Amino acid sequence: MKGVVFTEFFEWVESENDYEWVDRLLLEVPSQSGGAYTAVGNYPHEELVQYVVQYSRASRQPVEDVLKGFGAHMLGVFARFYPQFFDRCADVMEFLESVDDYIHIEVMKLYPDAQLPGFETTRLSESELEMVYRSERGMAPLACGLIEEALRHYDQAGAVESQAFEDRTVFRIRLNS
Amino acid sequence: MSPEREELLLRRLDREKAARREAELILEQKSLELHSKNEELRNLNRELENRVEARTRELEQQKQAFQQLVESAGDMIYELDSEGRFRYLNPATEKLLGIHPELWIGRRFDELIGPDDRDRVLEEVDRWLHESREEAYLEFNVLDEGLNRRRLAQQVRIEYLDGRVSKATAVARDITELYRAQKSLRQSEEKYRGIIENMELGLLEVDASGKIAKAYEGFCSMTGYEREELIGRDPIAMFLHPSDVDTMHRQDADRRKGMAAVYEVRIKHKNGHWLWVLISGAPIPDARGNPNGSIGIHYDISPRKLLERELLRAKDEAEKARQAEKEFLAHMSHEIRTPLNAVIGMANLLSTTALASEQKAFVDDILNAAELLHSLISDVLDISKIEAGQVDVTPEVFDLRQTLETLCRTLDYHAREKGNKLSFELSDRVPSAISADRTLLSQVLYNLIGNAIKFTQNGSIEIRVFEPVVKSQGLLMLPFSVSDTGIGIEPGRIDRVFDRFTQAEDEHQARAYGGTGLGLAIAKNLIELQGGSISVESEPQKGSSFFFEIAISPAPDEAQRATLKTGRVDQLRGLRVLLAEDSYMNRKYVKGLMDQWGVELTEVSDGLEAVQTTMKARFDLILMDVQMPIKDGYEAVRLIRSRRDNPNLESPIIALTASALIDDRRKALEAGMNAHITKPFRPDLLLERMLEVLELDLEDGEEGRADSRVWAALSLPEIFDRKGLEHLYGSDLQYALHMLRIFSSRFDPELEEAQSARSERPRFRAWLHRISPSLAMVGLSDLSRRAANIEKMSEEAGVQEAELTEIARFLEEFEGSRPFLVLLEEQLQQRIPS
Repeated sequence: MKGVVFTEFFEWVESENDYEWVDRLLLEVPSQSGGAYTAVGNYPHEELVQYVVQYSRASRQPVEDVLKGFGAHMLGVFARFYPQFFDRCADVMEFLESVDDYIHIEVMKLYPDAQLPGFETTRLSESELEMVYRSERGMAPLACGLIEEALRHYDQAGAVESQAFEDRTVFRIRLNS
Repeated sequence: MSPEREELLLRRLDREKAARREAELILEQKSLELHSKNEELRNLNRELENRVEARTRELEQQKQAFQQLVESAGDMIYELDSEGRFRYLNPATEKLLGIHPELWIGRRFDELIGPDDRDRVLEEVDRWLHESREEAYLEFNVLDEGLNRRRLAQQVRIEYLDGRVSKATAVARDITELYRAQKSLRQSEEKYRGIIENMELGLLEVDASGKIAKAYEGFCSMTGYEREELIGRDPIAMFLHPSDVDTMHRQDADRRKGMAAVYEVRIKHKNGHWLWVLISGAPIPDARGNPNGSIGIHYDISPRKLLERELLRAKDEAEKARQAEKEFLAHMSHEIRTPLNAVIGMANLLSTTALASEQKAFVDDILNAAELLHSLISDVLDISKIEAGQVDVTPEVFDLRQTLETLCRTLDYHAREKGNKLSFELSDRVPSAISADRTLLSQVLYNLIGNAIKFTQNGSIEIRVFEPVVKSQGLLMLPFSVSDTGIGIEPGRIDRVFDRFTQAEDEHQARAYGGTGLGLAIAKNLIELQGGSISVESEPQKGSSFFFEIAISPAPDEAQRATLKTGRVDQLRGLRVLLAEDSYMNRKYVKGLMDQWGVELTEVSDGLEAVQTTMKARFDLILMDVQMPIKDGYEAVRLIRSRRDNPNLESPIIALTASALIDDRRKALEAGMNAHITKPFRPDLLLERMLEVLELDLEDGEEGRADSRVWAALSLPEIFDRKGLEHLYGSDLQYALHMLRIFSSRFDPELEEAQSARSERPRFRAWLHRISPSLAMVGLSDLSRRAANIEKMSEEAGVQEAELTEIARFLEEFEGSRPFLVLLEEQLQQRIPS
């Protein structure tokens, strides 16, 4: 997993609390790097899962919420790092549709070894989009957080419903008219 | 700061440091990777640049090559833009039309087209564009710089973009000359068709499937059909006569092979009557030269056909008339000759009896007149037979010298009668035996010599035989000449001497010399039959020379046994001969001769009797008249020759013919006879013929081979004819001795008879007649000939001085031959083993 996910996760935990929380997570969870993560490195995905679980336990909130919150944080990071992905889309629907069709294709060019989830979209109507999330990593809540934050980024109000299946999670994004 | 806090910060610092080192390491690696990728990219770029450059160069070269090709092309090549303006013209444009390419860039294509053709071309181009054609061909007129009209053939390629013309590329060739040639060809074709139509010839064109493709006015008026009625129809089914269908199919097959021909067929006019047309048919070639249908020029020959039929009918009638004439001649010949034969025969017999000189003269007149009449009839008959092609050439092997001797002896009397000397000379290079038709050659010489004698007085006639000449195709030609010192032929008449009924002399002379005027025509015809030709050279009052040649074959050696057989009368003595002859007087004539020759003669008067008689007894020889009542001679001979139990199955038979000279020989031989003789015949001729057929049975060719050795070994006195003896006896010396003894035993009585008879002309002549052949039998050939000559001379009316002298000298020499005969007898006796 990309090191940026780890560094941003610790940034988010520190911003939500303080560095003591970060220090505690790093001490509690054994890691190959001994707790030193850099954004340009690659680290085992399991390590992040353990940090998320540990944080949810320490902060007494469900894992889904942790991931959701982290997702919202990540969208901000993406918007700051890759503004061109956002600028080329007129609204959130277009942006969500471009994830699978455009953004992930560009990501694969930079990181050929990246393991990206699938985001198949279907425009049900002018203001309704169905987005099917498929990933081995089961981080559907993270995706949910990202989607909700995207709505906010484009300053569009709407609701996101999700329905989980064994191999996929279906999000339905409905904009307020 | 609390120690916990301090430791926390230290831990954080350590982590940050470790992360930074890690990041630096990764970045360093990434940087290296990036660098090497960059290098790879740069190399790739260089590689690509090189390739692009090479490819560009290649394209440039190709473009230049194409450009050169276009620039140097003999045909015009040009490119038009979407508006039809010239974008490019190659230099050929200037060469062909004299317009400068650069001046024409930007001008519209249709400005090039001749004003007379512009509308048509633009219309055509519009059609192409409407149909979105990509390729098109068109011929059109243009005006060159000098405003001359030229004809171009253009192939264009049109390119489209979004349904609109983007550009057009064209190649055009100057076909002005070709176009003009085709045009003038079409014009001349039209012209000739017009001429043919005006000549009342009907033209009809038929396509490859045999259907009428074009019918011209001339054909329509000839057949009565309208053009529309003919087009597409099958002419064979429509109007060809059923009998000519095969002809037409054969002709059609020839047309398909590309052959032309002229032939005649019948076609039906629309109104139902038949026309005869002459068709000149020729194949029509397609572009590749293969036949594609045909054209027939029809000429109505119905009137000509009608004329032809009438001519044929007339010809048929003429031929029938000619046939009737021939039959009449043959009939006449028989009717006239039969009594004439009797006249001649009886006159001959009469002349051998004792007559007063006045009576003798009358008999001679009868004989002369009868013989002239006979020769006239023979000539007329001969020429009609020759011209009717009824004369065949039958080569036989014979001794030419002997034939000439016989001929000269026969004519010598006539020659002497007019004070002429008759002689012949044979080149040493002429073979002694030749193969040719003896009868025909004899007749030619007889006619020419007879002619020469007729027109020569107190002069000479000379026959020459020259060395044979090899002509083309290996033909051996034997040249002859017959020259006389007579009155000659006027230059104005010389060309016509060989024509029928034309005589060299004028009317006055014709009466003076007599004759049929057919002699030379017959000779010429007979020579041509024998593969030769005749010519004449003459000087008036100096003489004439006739030159001719005939085709001969050299005879094999054994043929040389053709011999001198004259004067062998004694050999006939005691022979049994049967004569079948219906004419009483002819029977008497032959009977008289046979009595003289000591032959035992049995006479019958018709063919049936002849057959019956031959069943009862064997004869050594049969003389058979061919025209007899009940059964004719041919039929009788066929019966004799067809019965195995007939004792005369192989007896020699001589045909006695009255009506003709040449083809009776063929008929006689076919019936199974051995020889023939034409009535009336002289005694010596019959004798010769009889000896001939008898000897053919006796002589053995193989024995003859040894002759020369046997006789050459004898030392004969010069008085004897060695060759004659060889021919007579071969190697049979015993027989020769036998004959010599017979002769010797009769020598004294004969000498006595001669002395006492010499003053009695008929008796002396009879002696001469008898002794002449006997002398030849013992090899005294010279004496034999002289006896025969005296015999002939003595037939003349008055006894002359010369004759008396010759008789005296002859008798002297005859007596003097006796010791030589004894000598020969001794020599022969020595040679014969006891």
